[in-house]
Amino acid sequence: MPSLVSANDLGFSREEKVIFRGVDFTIHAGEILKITGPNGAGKSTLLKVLAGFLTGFDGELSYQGEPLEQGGHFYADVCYLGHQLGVKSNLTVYENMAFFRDFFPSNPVLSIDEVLDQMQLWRLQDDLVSTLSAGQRQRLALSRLVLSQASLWLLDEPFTAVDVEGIGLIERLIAQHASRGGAVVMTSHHTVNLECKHLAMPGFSDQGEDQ
Amino acid sequence: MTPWLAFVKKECLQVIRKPSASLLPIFFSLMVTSLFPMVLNLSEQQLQQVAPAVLIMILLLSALMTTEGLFQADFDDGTTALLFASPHSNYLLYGTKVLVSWFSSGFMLSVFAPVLGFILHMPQHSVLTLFVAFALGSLNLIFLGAVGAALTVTLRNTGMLLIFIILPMNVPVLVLLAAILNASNQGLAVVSNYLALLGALTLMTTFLTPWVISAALKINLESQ
Repeated sequence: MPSLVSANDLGFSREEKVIFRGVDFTIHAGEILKITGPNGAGKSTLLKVLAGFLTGFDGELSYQGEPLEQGGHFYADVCYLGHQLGVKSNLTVYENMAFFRDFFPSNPVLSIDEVLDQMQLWRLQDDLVSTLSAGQRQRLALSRLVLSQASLWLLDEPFTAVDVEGIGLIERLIAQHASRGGAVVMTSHHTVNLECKHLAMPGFSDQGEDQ
Repeated sequence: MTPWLAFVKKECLQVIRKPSASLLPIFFSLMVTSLFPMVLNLSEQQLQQVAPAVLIMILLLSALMTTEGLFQADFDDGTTALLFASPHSNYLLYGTKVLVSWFSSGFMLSVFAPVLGFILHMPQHSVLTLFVAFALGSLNLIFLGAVGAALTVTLRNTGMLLIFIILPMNVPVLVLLAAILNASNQGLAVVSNYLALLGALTLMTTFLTPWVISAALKINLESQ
């Protein structure tokens, strides 16, 4: 089976300081890759490199067998969720979702109402995002993933500020995405109930106990 | 809805949710132009002579008000990163963002420009000139200001730095505006030539700066 994304001896340096180096992994459709390592190990930077925010990396990175530099199709096929959620606080929940649906390549089958329902944000749809709690904002940001058509999800600490119910919801979304042939690369300090491959950032041992 | 239209809708909604950003330059300009005649006690003719200088200062300060922090909120809440991760042209998106910002502030101020001219006793025939000069001038100054805002997006309290970065770039526009308003005051036919020059300069700025803005934001994003 051809790989979706593969990295060979991937490294990244900023102003001569090595953030990470020697990262090797391959991820296929339907797989979940969890990146582990202590703070400062370069997990978020690795995701940013994968998302295309950071150029000038060392080593090889390819998407569907093509080197990333040439992968014009790549951005349309990636959905990135970082620490900053990308939701506008002076717009309502519904307006944010409508923007996600219309701006990013999105699943034409899903309606906003369905996603509101799925993310349990139905009652808050007309509320300004500035009035939401951190966990509710995180759910709104995650709705971008649900609406998206992207096959690769890049999630940087998706469980931050989310309650137990929310964690279950995110795990279900990730599992559904993988079962539909999508792939997920995520960083998390949480123990997750998902069948996933692990990547310990080089130089650090994996302390995870996930199933 | 096309992605571009969705982006325009989002930007417009944000402007509507924060009307003070559009109204502030108008209130500010009305206040300054009203205070001038009250404080200086000048004759109509003298007031007409100082009007170009007052109007140009108003335009410049309004543009600075509009552009300071133009990209700050988007950068801090992760929207900038999302736009770069999208498959759409950032040149087009940032050009659009600045245009929406101009329409909500600079263009609205241009609509009021004839009123400001009336308060400062500018001749009646300069109404259209004032509107066009303000519209083109503010468009130019806001696009140039946006370059400074994009360059300094990761810095805090950038007011002074922003002024030092963009004021030299503003000089040609300010010189042309001064020539236009003075010529209009004197009823010279050369006004249309100056306006054409300002139009050409504005066209160049409008088409070139979105590329610089998007490159500056990308560099700042990478350095985070």
